[in-house]
Amino acid sequence: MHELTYAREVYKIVHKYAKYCKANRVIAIYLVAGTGTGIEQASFQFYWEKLAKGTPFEGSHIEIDYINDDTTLLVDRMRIEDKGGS
Amino acid sequence: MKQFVINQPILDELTKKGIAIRQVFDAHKIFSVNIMASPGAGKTSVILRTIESFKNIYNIAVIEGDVIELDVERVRNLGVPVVLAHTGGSCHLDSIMMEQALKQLNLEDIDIIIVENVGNLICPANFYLGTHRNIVIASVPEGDDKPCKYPGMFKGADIVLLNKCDYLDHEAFELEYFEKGIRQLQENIRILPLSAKTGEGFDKWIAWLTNSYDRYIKSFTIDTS
Ligand SMILES: Nc1nc2c(ncn2[C@@H]2O[C@H](COP(=O)(O)OP(=O)(O)O)[C@@H](O)[C@H]2O)c(=O)[nH]1
Ligand SMILES: [Mg+2]
Repeated sequence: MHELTYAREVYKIVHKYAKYCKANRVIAIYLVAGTGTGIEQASFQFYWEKLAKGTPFEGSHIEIDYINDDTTLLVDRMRIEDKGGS
Repeated sequence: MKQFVINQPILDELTKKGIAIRQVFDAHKIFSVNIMASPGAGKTSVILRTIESFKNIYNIAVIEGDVIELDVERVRNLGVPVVLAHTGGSCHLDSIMMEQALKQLNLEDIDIIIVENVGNLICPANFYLGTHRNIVIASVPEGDDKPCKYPGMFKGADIVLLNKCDYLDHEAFELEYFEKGIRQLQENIRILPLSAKTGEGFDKWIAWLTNSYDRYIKSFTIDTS
């Protein structure tokens, strides 16, 4: 249910890193989430697509790895296409 | 294609922003409360009656977490500064929305800020807004089992107000069971039955708020030399 808020935060985080590693395009973003956080893959992807429109993140895929706790929520890694091509 | 490891917690930034907001409050000696409850429990009604009691004593401002101006209008009619923290349909307020709302208030002239969170007994508990106290309102028609069902919310409360106590005689509401549900989470917490309709119990709530405000202001003058 907090997906919009979380999507905005994830955007800020990956934006920073994408700039740093000179990503041309971001292909996938991997999150780790506790099941107790209530964060839902489909809902997150929905908000993510809205935020990502017209940015290097457009078309990127969100993958959530669930673990069994209440609080964990982190951006684990991302898959990118860098400036030199893949 | 490349993998890039990030490994960064997501809520950190929001919490940091909440802490920054708390520092802004403290710089202005503004005492702030975050009012949380389910939709219709009586958040706005309690706020309105509280303003009536305090209007000539403290300068109060209100932040309404909502999508439309309905409750904003109700508060504005009492002549106190009020802004809408636009939630965009989200199930809670977060520190980003708070920051935007605070920009619209003149902080120089405020003693107390009351925040009406989004009507929801789950989500708002997870987001730190920088406020000094969490006020959780339950109401009699919702039933006496809410503390058992939503421990996350009641666990974080600094005081629980049981609103609509004018219904206590009509509803099958066991006050003891309700209180037990809360005491299992927090043994010594204050639980106050009141009614925003009749005003019953408001003297105790106003006294609690006044006392909390006084203690807050005093904390700035403690001699540390
Ligand atoms: N009987 C009774 N009704 C109340 C009381 N407090 C609020 N209400 C009514 O409950 C409804 C919802 O109140 P409101 O303050 O808008 O709730 P909110 O959604 O939590 O802000 C309104 O119709 C109020 O008049 C109360 O103490 N007793
Ligand atoms: Mg309301």
